[in-house]
Amino acid sequence: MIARFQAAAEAVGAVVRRFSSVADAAAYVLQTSGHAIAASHLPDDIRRALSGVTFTQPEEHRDVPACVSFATAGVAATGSLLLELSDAVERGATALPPIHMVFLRASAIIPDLPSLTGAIDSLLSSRPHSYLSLTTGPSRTADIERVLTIGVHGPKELHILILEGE
Amino acid sequence: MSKKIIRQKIHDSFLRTALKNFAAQYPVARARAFEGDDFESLRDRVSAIRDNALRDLPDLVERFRESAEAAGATVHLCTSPEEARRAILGIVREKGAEFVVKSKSMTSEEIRLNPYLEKAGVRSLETDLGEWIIQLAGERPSHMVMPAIHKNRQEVADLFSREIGRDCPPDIPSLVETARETLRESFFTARVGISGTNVAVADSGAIGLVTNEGNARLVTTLPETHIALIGIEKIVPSLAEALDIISILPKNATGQKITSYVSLIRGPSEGHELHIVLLDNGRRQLAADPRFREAMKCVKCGACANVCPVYEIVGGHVFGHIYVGGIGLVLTPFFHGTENARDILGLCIGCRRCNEVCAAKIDIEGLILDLRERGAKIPGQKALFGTLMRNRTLFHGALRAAYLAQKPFQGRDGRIRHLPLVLGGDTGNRSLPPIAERPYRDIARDREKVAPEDQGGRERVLFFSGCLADFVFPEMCRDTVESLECLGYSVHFPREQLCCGIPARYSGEVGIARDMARLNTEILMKEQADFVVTICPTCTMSLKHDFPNLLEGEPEHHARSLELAAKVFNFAELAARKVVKSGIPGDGEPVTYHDACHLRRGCGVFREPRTVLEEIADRKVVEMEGPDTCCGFGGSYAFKFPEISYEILKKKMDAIAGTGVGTVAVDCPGCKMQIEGGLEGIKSRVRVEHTATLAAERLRE
Repeated sequence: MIARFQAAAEAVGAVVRRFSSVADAAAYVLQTSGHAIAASHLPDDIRRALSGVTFTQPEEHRDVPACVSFATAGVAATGSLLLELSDAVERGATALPPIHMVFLRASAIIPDLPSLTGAIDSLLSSRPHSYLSLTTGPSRTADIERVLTIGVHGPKELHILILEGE
Repeated sequence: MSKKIIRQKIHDSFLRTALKNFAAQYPVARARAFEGDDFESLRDRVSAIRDNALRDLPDLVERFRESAEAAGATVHLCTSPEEARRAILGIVREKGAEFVVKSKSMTSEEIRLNPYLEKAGVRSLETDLGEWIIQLAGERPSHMVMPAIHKNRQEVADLFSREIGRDCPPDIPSLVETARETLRESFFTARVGISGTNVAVADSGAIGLVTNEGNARLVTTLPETHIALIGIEKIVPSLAEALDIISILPKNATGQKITSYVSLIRGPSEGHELHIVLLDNGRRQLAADPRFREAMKCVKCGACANVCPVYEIVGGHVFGHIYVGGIGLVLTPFFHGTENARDILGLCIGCRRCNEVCAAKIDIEGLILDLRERGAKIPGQKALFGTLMRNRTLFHGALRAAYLAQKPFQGRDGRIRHLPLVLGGDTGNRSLPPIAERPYRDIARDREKVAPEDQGGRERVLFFSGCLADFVFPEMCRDTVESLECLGYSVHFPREQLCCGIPARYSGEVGIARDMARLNTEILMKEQADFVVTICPTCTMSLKHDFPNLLEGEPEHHARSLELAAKVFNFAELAARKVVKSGIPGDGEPVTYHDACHLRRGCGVFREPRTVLEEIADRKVVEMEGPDTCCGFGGSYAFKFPEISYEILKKKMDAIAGTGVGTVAVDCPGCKMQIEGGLEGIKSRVRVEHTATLAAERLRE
């Protein structure tokens, strides 16, 4: 299933890396983006592993090179990530920088979109308001002469950091 | 539709290349996107979801409103475009905004939101790249999903250079980067963001946005107020249905398995406001219309334009009003009035390709035909179809008179190259076959006199030839009868048979088509027979499908028409029944096969003709590229829009030439007339023959 997810995500232009430890994944983040980055909410283990990183303030989000976030689930059939981004500031953090890096636990990869229905429904109704982003590959357009061009308004690079061996 | 605009589009070489390339690439991308999915069952589900939703639309609207409000959104239910525009302006004013950012919304085009806001002193900036391009050009989208498909990189570079006051090179990645940089600031300065919506969920009050560029995420995130505009038909009961729609939409629209971003939004984010503007604009009334409600099943994927041979020639500025493509023709009278629909409804050639790909399984072509009936009719055509066609002697007399009248226009080989009056200029690049001296009905009379039908225990077939074959291609009729006889049938030609009524129906004269249906049913059911055979697929469709539909209100005739429908087959179907398959392709001269639209998509017949060619005619079939794309004939279409018809034909002739074979087989006299006329016009030596003719040639040996 991980291999299927990886193939589908790469087919739409995502960079996929598989890590056996959170620390290795954190090192990849530092190496890819430098020290000051934007972030949406992260689980404690990942936040701790990223101790070498300075998380920027909301007003800086538009100028930072990268952002890290955490996916609730991955969809193997399409290489999609389900991101719970109900907070507008966190959402902006994932939408503005040119590089978006997303942690995904291997155990959270499910086969296809229909099998995600229950999870999406409960995420939608579990809080007073919610905003979910199902993200597949980097931002793209084909609006000029139908030539596929990556990175128009959203991130130009999407890196998926799969955490295995938990 | 003005001929000048059509001509201008036909000669717009960039548009033509762009649409031609797209038409070639789209089916490949689409097939890949649906890999592993069963398209038919998925669209059956989408169709059922929409059907059910439309049935309880008022209730669904209420449920959605309650859920959305419970989640903290403010819902504005607007009956008219004016009301929706006013509601939106009201919110913008309340926020003290003079500037709004927008992401793509066809519904906002429907209500012409931008001009209204601009007039009220509010600057509305489109941030979707394609929409921004056409906003800068002062145009409207020429495709529902790819609004600027008609613009090339140089035009885009010129527009950008003018807008930002520095020279932008015509390089696509750099133009995209320019859009990113130029528009970025506006997401921060705008206090209101306006988006469309692809689907709305009644039980949770959530809305779904399906996008690629990421601008919609910014529009719905950075400004404190988000206004979402939604046509009420987009509401579904629950998330499961929404996901089915989200799943089919990008695959059918652009051949993507899923778009980069699917956003599901329930209620406003902390510190933000969410206003949902629900637009009716005739939708509830349309949902209650038993015939046309089907049009509202549309998910706005644009696939009907993607596969349309006419759209491929003229683009969306001709083939549509605000909504473009096949479904655009259908929706226009309901959303934008019959006066805007009158011209464009005639542009459909009736090939039914759109029906084949529609994500919601809408009978787009059938709806267009029925709308023509509702619309204005050409003066005088009622007399033509009514008086003439219902009266066999008069109609056939007129055709016989035409045989004499055509004489001055015939060339040495008998073909007509120059037509008088209206038809002259535009059909100059094609020749037409003449009306035969003796129609098949005369030949049949003599034939049956000399050799009375000997049934001898054979299955009995009634031959319904159709007018074109009868009067223009009598030899095709003879080949049909002789082939079937050789194959063991007994064949009779009922001389009272009339026109099938399709020309009347296609011109919107349904009353006349109904008369023809009733009369022909009586004539054909009077005789004892096992089958009725046709050699014109349009007649087949008419006898099989239209007759029962047209006679629905007349129980007795309706029952008879159903009995008749069960007996009607195309020549190839009856011939193929008698084949004992060898599985070995014939070793005779190779042929290529052109699938007639009404045979392939109207009757679902495409294997049988190939079987007949290989097993009976002993030919090897070499497939051409796009064997089932239209030849551009479309009955009277070839005369109403000769230039479009010819451009479609050119593509077909290229495909034929690409096979290198000397014969094209067809199962339709209309296709034969069109392709033969075109090939003759370019001095090609390729023969065009009905499958029955090729079968007869072999069977006679």
